[in-house]
Amino acid sequence: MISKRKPYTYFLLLPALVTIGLILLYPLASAFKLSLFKYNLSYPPPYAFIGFRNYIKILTSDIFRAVFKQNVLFAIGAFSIEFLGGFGIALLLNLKFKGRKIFRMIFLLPMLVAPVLVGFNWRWLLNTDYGLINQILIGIGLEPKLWLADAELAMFSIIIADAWQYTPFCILLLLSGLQTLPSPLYEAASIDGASVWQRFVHLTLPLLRPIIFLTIILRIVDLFRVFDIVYIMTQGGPGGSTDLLPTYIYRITFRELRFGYGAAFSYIGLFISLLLVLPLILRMERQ
Amino acid sequence: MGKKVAFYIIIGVALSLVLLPIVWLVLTSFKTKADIFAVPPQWLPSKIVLKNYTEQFTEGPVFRVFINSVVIAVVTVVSVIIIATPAAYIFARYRFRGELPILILILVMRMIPVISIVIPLFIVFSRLGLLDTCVALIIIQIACKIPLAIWILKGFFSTIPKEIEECAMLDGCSLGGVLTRIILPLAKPGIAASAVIAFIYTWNDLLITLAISATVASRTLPVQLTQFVMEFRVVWERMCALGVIMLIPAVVFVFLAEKGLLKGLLLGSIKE
Repeated sequence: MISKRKPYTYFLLLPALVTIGLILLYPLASAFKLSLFKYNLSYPPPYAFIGFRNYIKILTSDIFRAVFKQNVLFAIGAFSIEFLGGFGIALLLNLKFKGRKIFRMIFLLPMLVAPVLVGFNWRWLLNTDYGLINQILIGIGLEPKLWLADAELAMFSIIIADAWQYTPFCILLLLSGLQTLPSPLYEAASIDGASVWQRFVHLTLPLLRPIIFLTIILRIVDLFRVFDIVYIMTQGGPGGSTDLLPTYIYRITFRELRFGYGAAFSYIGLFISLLLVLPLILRMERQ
Repeated sequence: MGKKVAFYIIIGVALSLVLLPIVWLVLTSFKTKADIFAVPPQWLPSKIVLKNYTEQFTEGPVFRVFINSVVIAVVTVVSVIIIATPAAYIFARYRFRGELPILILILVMRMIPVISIVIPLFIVFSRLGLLDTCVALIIIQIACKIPLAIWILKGFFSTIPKEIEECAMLDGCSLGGVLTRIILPLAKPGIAASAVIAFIYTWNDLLITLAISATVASRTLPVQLTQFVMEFRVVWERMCALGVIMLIPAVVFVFLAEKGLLKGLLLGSIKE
């Protein structure tokens, strides 16, 4: 219990809150206001105020259901690989072995490449005719696949691309977390006869709890914002089968010029992220 | 013995999966157009071409763009860490009314897809007369990264047992002293992680810069990458070369952050 709670310490919060408030609150409010209008730039103004009609229209539409389902599928697929794979690699990298600093840098590399480039790179690698992946498959006697042209494979492909780029995110956070764990505790535990698994479950997991929650929350939020990679690899195709919320919003807003509808869609996306993440946050705070 | 073999096999497989696209990226950057479209695809270039790199600087504005990117990223990261660290500490240690809603609101800032906020941002900065300036980009990037940094730092601060600080305070240590001498060293991996993530997300950001930037005066490297998507084809060899060029400062930064050189910066500036 930190007893001396001088009021001026709360001023340390101000710079952060003021900066965020000044720059981000206006765009958020503006987008919300926009979502309440029938703001379609293909038609001339004035634009009618229609309240929450955009939201109702979206929530009852089939396209929304499809896009939402696809985004969830994408998120589950990508998250599983990123978190489980990332945690595993982080645990391995936490062991003391020669050259581990170099390995650590190498495993962080995919995150350092610009998402746009990752999208193009994977689009090229998975190209049916020129792509390296298909060439390797042919080389070992398997059939080349339509990675980006087949609906199901396309979803698989964007999951792989996102996992490739963002597993290092999980590795970075989890490994940094592992590095803050005090080794004396582990030594004492092994002396007392605890096995590796026991040490993991009873020492590592509880101590790492805040960071594990943090990683899960941040990844889930980001998986509903993925734009660059998907847009470049598939534009949401084929036939809209890899459309995620951001790519669909992009099409609605900038191609069909339905700004109000697009803004409403964004806010629904926001609420979905919030709903998914809120239980985790509450669980995390309950200490 | 078996464990060691298994370990190296797993690491090896994971390593090749990680490196395959990057090796392909680097190799492509040294190829000619003919090599790229060869069927079947060739691993190695038939002859190594350096002009994909050199011509970026001689024919293109890459030097200026590179400087922009570096300035924006470095200023952003330093500012974000300075602003977010105290705030994260307060969220981690103090309980006050409205704390959780504010924290959640901060995270909510991150939940809206970027495309939905770029237009209002454009309008605001247009009215301020700050369009196409690095200053505008720096301000926006800082605002966008603070929520992330606060959450990450708060998470890491939470792993430090309160008892350590309480002991120090009982011994007469001030709040500022606690921060600099106890928390920061213990949370060093966390601060490094936040700095790296803030840097990468700023260094590679595309949409915000596309919205605000109009000329080379404020263009950053990711936007320059999109210049290679031309009407008839994507100029892969140039794009990959620029991609490699972009990777180098990123790797350097991560290396420095790991080494904790940022620690010196922090301790020097937080003197409350």
